[in-house]
Amino acid sequence: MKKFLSFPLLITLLIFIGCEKEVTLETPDVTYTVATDDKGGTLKLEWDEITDADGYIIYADGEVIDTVTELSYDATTPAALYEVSAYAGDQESGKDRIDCGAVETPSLTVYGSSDPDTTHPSGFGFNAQGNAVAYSISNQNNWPLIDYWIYSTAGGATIKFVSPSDRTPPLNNEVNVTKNSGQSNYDDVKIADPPGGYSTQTDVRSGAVYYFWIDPTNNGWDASTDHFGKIQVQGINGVQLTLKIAYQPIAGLRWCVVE
Amino acid sequence: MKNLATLLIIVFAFAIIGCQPPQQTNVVTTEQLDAVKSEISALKNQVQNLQTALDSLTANYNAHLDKYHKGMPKPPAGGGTGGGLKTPTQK
Repeated sequence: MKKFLSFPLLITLLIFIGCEKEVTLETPDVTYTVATDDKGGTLKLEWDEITDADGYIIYADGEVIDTVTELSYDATTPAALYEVSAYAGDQESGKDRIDCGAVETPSLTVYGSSDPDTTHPSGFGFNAQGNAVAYSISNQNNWPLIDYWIYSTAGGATIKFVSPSDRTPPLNNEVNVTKNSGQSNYDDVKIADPPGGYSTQTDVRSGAVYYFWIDPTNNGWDASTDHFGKIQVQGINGVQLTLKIAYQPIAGLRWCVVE
Repeated sequence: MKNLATLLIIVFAFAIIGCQPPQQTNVVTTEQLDAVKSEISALKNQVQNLQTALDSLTANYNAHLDKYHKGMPKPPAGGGTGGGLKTPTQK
């Protein structure tokens, strides 16, 4: 009789286990904003709740850096790629990606203003894709496109990154600034300093890495028109400079990790 | 008799020619002279006024240079596209 009773119980248990609903997790749809409180040092990620999710996994450049149950995450570790997935038990959804990498221009040649060849470019700016483009200032049509001008004295005794507004006559009204990072390893520079200590004129040294801050409206930091990045002076030959540049396309974000 | 008459005619002709009043050369009247003097005087005044205006402009220009551009670095020597530098700012 006992055996007869335990058989239906076993069957019922098996039915319950077999009928457990399989969870299908949707991929979170992540949006981002640049935090204002630390002036571009933090990227705030947000998403809607995913049904049945136990929590969310945060990846930075492919590595898991955190697991959260909230619907937002303040990303303070500079990276080129953030991803967010939902999880339930040992199941994981697809990952939504936020590309926050800096756009790199591997090599840009520019010349100081004292270069005898006036067709040589002594200014540079950034196009819509974030690539640096060198411009000759002997063509006034280029002036509005220039974000930085290279000033030099004869022979290159002094060379400076100069805001286009600081030239006489000015190239345009943008008050763009630079700051020596104090570092010489390009890859080690992952985030530009917050506002403070940037100058409209900075002496150029071979090998040094500089932060740059493009502030076209000269209204202090903002997340609508400002852009940050880094410049390494790879070589100086007379008044000729070879630069390696990384430009952060997300307005206001100070991260400069290259994709 | 004929010769006498001819001589008289010749003398008469010479007398007529010699008695002609001298032909008038270019004569400047006193009025014209006064007008020219007056015009010259007016022109002198205008030149004087221009000189005064020029002196004033030069003085203003020099004052502006002293006030706003004193000590500004000269454009780089050795050619190039040149251009000077304003005083740098920080932010």
